[in-house]
Amino acid sequence: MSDNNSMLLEVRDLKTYFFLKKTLKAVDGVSFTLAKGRTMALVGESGAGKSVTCQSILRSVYPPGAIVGGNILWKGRDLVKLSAREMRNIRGDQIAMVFQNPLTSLNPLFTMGAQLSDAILAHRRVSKGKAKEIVLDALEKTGINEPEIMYNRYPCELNAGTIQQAMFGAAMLCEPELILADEVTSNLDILSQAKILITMKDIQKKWGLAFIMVTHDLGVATQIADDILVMYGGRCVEHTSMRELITHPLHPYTQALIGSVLEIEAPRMDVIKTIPGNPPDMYNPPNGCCFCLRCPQAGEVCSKRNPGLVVVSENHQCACFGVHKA
Amino acid sequence: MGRKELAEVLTKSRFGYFFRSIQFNNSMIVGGIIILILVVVAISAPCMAPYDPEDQDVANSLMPIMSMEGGSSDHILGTDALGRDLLSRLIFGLRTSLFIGFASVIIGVGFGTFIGLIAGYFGGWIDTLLMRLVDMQLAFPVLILAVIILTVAPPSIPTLLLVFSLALWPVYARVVRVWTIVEKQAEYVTAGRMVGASHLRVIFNYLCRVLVPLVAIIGTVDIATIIILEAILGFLGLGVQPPTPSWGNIIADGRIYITTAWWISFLPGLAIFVSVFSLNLFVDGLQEGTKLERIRK
Amino acid sequence: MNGSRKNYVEDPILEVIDLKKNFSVPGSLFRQRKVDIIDGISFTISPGETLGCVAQGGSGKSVLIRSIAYFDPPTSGRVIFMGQDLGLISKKKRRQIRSKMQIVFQDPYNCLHPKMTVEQNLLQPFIIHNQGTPQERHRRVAELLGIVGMSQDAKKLLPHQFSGGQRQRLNVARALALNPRLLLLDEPVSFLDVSIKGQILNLLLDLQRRFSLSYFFVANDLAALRQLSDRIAVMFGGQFMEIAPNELIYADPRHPYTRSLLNAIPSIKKGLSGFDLLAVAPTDRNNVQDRGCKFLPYCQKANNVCASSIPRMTEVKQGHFVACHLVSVRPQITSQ
Repeated sequence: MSDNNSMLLEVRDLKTYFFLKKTLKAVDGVSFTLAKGRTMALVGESGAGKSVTCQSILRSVYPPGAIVGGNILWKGRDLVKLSAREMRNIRGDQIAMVFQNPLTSLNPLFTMGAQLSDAILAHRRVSKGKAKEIVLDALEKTGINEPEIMYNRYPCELNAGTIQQAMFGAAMLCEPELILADEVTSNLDILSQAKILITMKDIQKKWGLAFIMVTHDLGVATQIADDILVMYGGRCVEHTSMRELITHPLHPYTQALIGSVLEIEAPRMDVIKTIPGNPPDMYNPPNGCCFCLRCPQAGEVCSKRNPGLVVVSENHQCACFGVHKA
Repeated sequence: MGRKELAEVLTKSRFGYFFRSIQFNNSMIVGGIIILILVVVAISAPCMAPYDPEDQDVANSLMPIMSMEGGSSDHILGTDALGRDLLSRLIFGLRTSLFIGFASVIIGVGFGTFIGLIAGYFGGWIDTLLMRLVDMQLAFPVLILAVIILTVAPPSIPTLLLVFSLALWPVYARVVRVWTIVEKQAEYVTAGRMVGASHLRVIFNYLCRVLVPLVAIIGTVDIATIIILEAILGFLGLGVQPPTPSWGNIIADGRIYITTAWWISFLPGLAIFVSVFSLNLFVDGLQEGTKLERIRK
Repeated sequence: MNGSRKNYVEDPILEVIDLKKNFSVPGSLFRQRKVDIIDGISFTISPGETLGCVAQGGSGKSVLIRSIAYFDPPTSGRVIFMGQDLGLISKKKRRQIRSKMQIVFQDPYNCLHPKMTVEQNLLQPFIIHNQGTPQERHRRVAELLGIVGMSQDAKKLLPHQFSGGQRQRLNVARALALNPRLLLLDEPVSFLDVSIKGQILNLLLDLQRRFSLSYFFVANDLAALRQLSDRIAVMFGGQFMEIAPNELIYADPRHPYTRSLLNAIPSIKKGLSGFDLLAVAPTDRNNVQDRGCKFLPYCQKANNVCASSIPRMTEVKQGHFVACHLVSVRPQITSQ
């Protein structure tokens, strides 16, 4: 995609499996690169493996799950091979994560500001006053109005959107270079969601952060992503720039997904376009291509073998037997 | 019969909804088998015991265990000071202990659960009134209460049941009340009410279906507690009165002979240990078995 | 005062008049504060109509639904369902009538009794109301499963063995058991995957056509509401800010809140041409107004009038009602 110097993160054929009664292949061969200051969206339904991919990057996958294969190159170093201690230096400091549910991110018994200060005091030797300053600064960076007042509020008094902004602030405390945003807007109302998206764009412009945005909402992805990687059943089915994906989707799943997104401008339909069937049961994945049971273009070979990722054109990859190299 | 077949049989039984959610594991099976053996022995005590437990035979008193010097195969576990066969006494004592344990738990836990359900579901003045009753009960330390009651009234099995039930019910009332307050907000309760379910149905059909398995698991642990409590009271002379055997009073009898005929006090203690241990093992297995269902979700 | 088409002959199936609901919150030592959750909501729903309601989390939507269903009786105001004022009839009668009004909840994971099989769950309505012989009941259960598109194998399974979308179908099946006339839907698709959302919405549309159901559909997702609703009400701070027919809300939104909502929706087309949001989001709860317009702290166009009195619903166009001082003052506001 870009030259190696600005390549911040390179994931090669990542495989993360969960060893329960049956082996659950949560992530089964995902590859992508992320350059500095760019945003990539991981789009897919629940069970597609998006969150697990993020957790794998941060090495927070615990037994019964484990990374069984692949490399995660962060600025040249393979995160899969690092020790726990080395990983702790990277986690939170260079790569941070913001989670889905703002209401459970904070302890309800302490004020928001106190918790964020605690986070700083845990990593750096600064005075309490200095920690408070850093927190107020971070809250302002993420666009929260009146940070002084918000500092002393308890989580129950705050709107979910504000808490999420504060969590972005918390993520920024150590000035990371990459933030993993795991469905950060899914639990928010429309206006708070818009605010967070603006905040993210803002942070990126000012501080050159890279984002990996996990979402099931294509609309949200198109707002801020430069590149989109569509996941289904633990595998990557299409990976290209945002514009290319929206204008020329190649994979049947991507096409169906775009088609089923409800748009405001669309007229009322008698029957809403939707993808028939259910998301795959990851305990019993189908043979061959994981989408074949729901695919309108499924052929014979689709249920027998798994299509690999094919480079269709520069910057556009697709995993489908029906799509060939241009 | 393998694990799977056992599971199938139980699932199809009338209480299938309970068994359906259980994942059988080793603790549960081992503990369960031991308990089953104990229960069978207790029920069939008159058949199992070689002698009448109150049959005195002073000529043969203080005989040691069969394998020791001086023991005989007539009395496998020896005899006590009055020549009564220890094995028979232990078996009948088991019967007493298990009965008191199960009965107390059923009465005490049952009553406590009922109070907790009513208080939690209806709230308001009912809740306040019932919880003040609980507070009053809890203000009395169990053992002192037991001693008072048993000094005033003659220690008999019904009195003991009363004492133990009183000891058990308040904690269950509190815990069940909190659980009910949370669970009554669940959508399936609201949905049921929307369809027209009466309060009675919601409490005793919907809520109990979820609650009873939980309470049963926790309650089983208390059977062990009661067995120990009963032994303590028996040892103090406040439990089941001699000549009826109970593990507590057998230990008490054997106290003076502890240096010479140590087995008289030791064997009941061992019996208590085995019962309590197997109960705890079973409950641990049960807790693990039902927890798994939630993870699978 | 309802925005329905004037040529509708039939009586409305649901009429809510000035509904108010407040809760006592412990304030200082001996006094209790009253917090208004619902502060005067009125609307009607005609038979076969869908009234969509846009409500963000925390705006009181769940309380509204529970008040309409008379679960938590409203503090004041009237709810008239199928011609009966729910506040005036006996409890027994209310139970009977309420079976014609069912709620479909947001969280599919807790709506069916977790320890009862699907069949037992679906039989409940009939058992409670003592309807039908056992054979009739079983036949009806089989019928319901078919109506919502579930296979008959589902009967003996437990709820936790199904996916979210399937459970939502079962919820709908249970709601349909007693042949309701009105369904109150509390964000029924917001917890579902994108591809399943459409399926459930299609199911709801289909059921409405087949059984002439009326819906009160509360959701966060304006795009989904666009597909299902005949009219849309915009709720904020326990009041309706705007009620209008479906097309008008999107073509000509008048209230500043409605405008900012529509602006804030991330759409694929918008993403392609770059976007520029003027988003205004409610921040925290302590800024609730006692007098004046509820939207005042967040409104970019507010002036003095807005702080002094609560704006009333006025009919701006045929069937289009807005509660905003600025709209009443200037009859023709061009959309920006």
